[in-house]
Parts: sequence; structure tokens; C-alpha cells
Amino acid sequence: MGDVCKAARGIMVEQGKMPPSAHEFALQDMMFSNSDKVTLARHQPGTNASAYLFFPGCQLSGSSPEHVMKTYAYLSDRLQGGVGLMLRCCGAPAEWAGREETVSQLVDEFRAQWSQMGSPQLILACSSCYAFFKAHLPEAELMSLWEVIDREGLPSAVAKPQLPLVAIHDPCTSRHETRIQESVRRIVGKLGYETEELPLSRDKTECCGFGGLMFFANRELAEKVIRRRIAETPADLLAYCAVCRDHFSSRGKPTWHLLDLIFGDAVSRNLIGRPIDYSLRREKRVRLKNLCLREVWCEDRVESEAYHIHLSVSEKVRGLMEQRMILDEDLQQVIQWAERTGNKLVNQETGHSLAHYRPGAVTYWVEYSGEEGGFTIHNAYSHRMELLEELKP
Amino acid sequence: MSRQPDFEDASDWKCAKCAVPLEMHEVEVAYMGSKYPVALPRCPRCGIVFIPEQLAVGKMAEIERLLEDK
Repeated sequence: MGDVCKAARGIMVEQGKMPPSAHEFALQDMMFSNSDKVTLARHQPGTNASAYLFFPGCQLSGSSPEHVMKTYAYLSDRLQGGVGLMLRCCGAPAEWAGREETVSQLVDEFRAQWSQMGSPQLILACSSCYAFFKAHLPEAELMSLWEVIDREGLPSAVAKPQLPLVAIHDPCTSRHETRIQESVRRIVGKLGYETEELPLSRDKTECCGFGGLMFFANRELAEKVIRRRIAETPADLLAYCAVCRDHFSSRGKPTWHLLDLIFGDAVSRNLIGRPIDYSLRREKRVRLKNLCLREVWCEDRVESEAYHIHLSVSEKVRGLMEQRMILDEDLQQVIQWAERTGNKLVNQETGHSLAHYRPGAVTYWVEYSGEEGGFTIHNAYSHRMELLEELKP
Repeated sequence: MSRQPDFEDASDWKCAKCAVPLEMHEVEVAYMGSKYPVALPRCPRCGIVFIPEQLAVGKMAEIERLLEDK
């Protein structure tokens, strides 16, 4: 069925029939992950060749970059011959969106960089990256991070988080990867956790609502898929895909990432019941690159998002922003425009300002208060329909 | 879009620049190659328009979907 949908999407894109609202947000996020602010490709410090290349993927980098750092340190310590690091997005969102031309372009870019590094064996933390490279880079030798950890052994001195029974959730893109599923179960077994198999797991596992960009193209269906999956067990879930963890966790289900258990910290604990913050995910990717350059390669280069406008956003509004796919950057652009031009409305009762701006294909509306330097966001909404407004000076 | 939506909260807002209340006025909106006239609260002096949240996430979103599915 997935193949049929993918083929249909390809045809829709080719014929110019794909609605822009379906995948645009995810594709822009992918472009961001492949921009200079985020990408990095280096040999291990002190080496000029890589036998391996760790590719954590854009979602783990945006969700828990601390896990990327710890995993890279572990791999560099355990493996001989040099472990390179590459930060970027594999291109899976373009494939899911039916953008074949973009896929070819991204694969070519990746292949050029990877060949330049000596075509090292790829170590992948994300099963979507694994599936993508398996399909588009047949000449590469692929290994899941879980197979490597299973083979090389757990990091020493792990203080395990105390958890009762955990139910293993296999990501949908690992459905046909029996070796990966086995490695995960062996690792959990070595860690000593009591596990439960969900009624639908392994080759029959269910999606977390992200696969095929469902979350962006059909939110209602994705919410249903998430809620159905988390209701399948009263036990905590154990995921080995950052998006699966984030989707379940954000809907209040205690969900752990396998790296939480392996490295003995519980990064996931802070994510339970919190909305998915897409702006923060972007910022974390930028910070990860800077952190790697500073701490791993000892380069004092700091690149960060130029956030001149400080926003104060409550959890409630953050939830709305997640639902409506609005980034901090979108709000900042609106406020910057409104404060510069004076084009805004003012509420006679609350004194709040309401402004709108269309930086691209979407018009964003922001209700805010405050002044230069710091603004409190009270509401944010958007529409794609263009308002043909004629403003007089 | 020709039907006038409910703008009961429009009276709370006035134009910050011109300091005048908004008045209903016909404005054009466009999406996917189609244009529609719609009556919206607008500043009579500078022309800034108000689209309430309920209209943006309700009727407008619904029409966007219909046009996309066409």
C-alpha cells in the first residue's frame, strides 16, 4: 500500500497536482537540516580517513542532540580505523513527498561527500535513514547503530534508569529489518529490563503517525494512529526512533528512547506531555553542529540563529503552534514587520497588538504584547489563502 | 466566501496607526489560481484588514482544502 501511495504522490508532483499544504512544512524542515547552519561532515579528530561514518539523522539531532554526542564518543572509542561524523537529513521526507527530483539531488550530494571521505561504512541511528540509503545508495555498506552496540557491547558504568516493564515499539521503517529488531531486543536484554511485545510488532509493527509524512498531510489520521498505538499497553513504551518517542511522549505516554537506557540518562523524561517544539528542534540542530565543532574538533566557530527578538511563549500557545505548524521564526518575522511599519491592530480592551505578514506561501497572524527586545505571544494562527490587501501609507 | 462571517470580536480591534475603528469592506482573497471577494473588517484609512482566528482556522482552512482537493 505504501508503494502505491508513493507512486501516486510521484505522479501528482509530476503533474503539478500536489497541494502545497500537504508536505511543504516537512520539506522546508528538511532543507533547513541540509543548510550550512546544520550540516557537518568530518573525519574523527586527529585522523584523515574514516572506516566508518556515523549518521545520526536529523530527527535525533533535533530531538536529543545529547544522545548524538554520547553515541559519537562511544563509537569513536570502540571502533578502529576512524569514525567520521555527518550531520544532515538523508532525504526521506522528499521521498515520502513524491519529490523524485529532490531525492536524486540529495543522493548525489550525499554520495559526493561520502565518496570524498573514502566511502566509509555507514552507521545509522534512524531506521528511516537506513531504509532510504538501502534503496538509494546500494553501493554503501550499512549498519544500524543497534547492530554495532549489540556487537561492541554496552558502554561501561551505566547507571540505568529504574523502569518497570517496557513494551518495545518497532518503528515502521524497521518492519523488514529482522537483524535490527533482534539487536534491539538483545541490547534491552543485556541491560536487564523486563520487556513486553506489543500485539503488533516486528514485521507487523504500526506507524507512530510520522511515516509517509502523515502527521503533516493528514493530522487527524495521524492523531488517531498515535492514540491507538499508545492505548495498546499500560506499560511504558521503548522506542528506537526519535520521532516515535516524540510522538508518543508528546501525547502523554511515557516513552523511552533506547539511548536513554544505554547511556543511563533519561532525556526522554522531560518530554512526556510536552508539545513538539519545531523551532526548538531546528535550534538544537544548529547547536549540535556548534557543540561538535567546539568540543570534538576544538574549533571556536559559533554559528547561531539570529534571534534578535526574544519571544515568551506559554505551553498552551506552544501547543497551538505545534498543531498549526508555526515556528518562532515566523512569529519573529511578523513582529519585526509590524514594529517597523506600524501596520498592526490594537485591542482596545487588552492593549494587545495583532499583526500579520506573509513571508512566503503562508500568512501568519500573531497576537502579542511587549516592546523591543521581548514580546509575549498570546495567540498565533495562519492561512494559506492570500489576502489581496492594498495598504496606503 | 461570499457569505459574511461572524465578526463579533472585530469591534475590539482598531487600527494602531490610524487609531480608527474597523469597518466592513469587500476585499479579495486568492488561492490556487482562484480569487474571491469577501467582506472583512478593514481600516477605512490605511486599508489594513482583520481576519479573526475562527475564520482563518475554520472557513478559510475548509475552502483551502476544497480547492486543494479539486
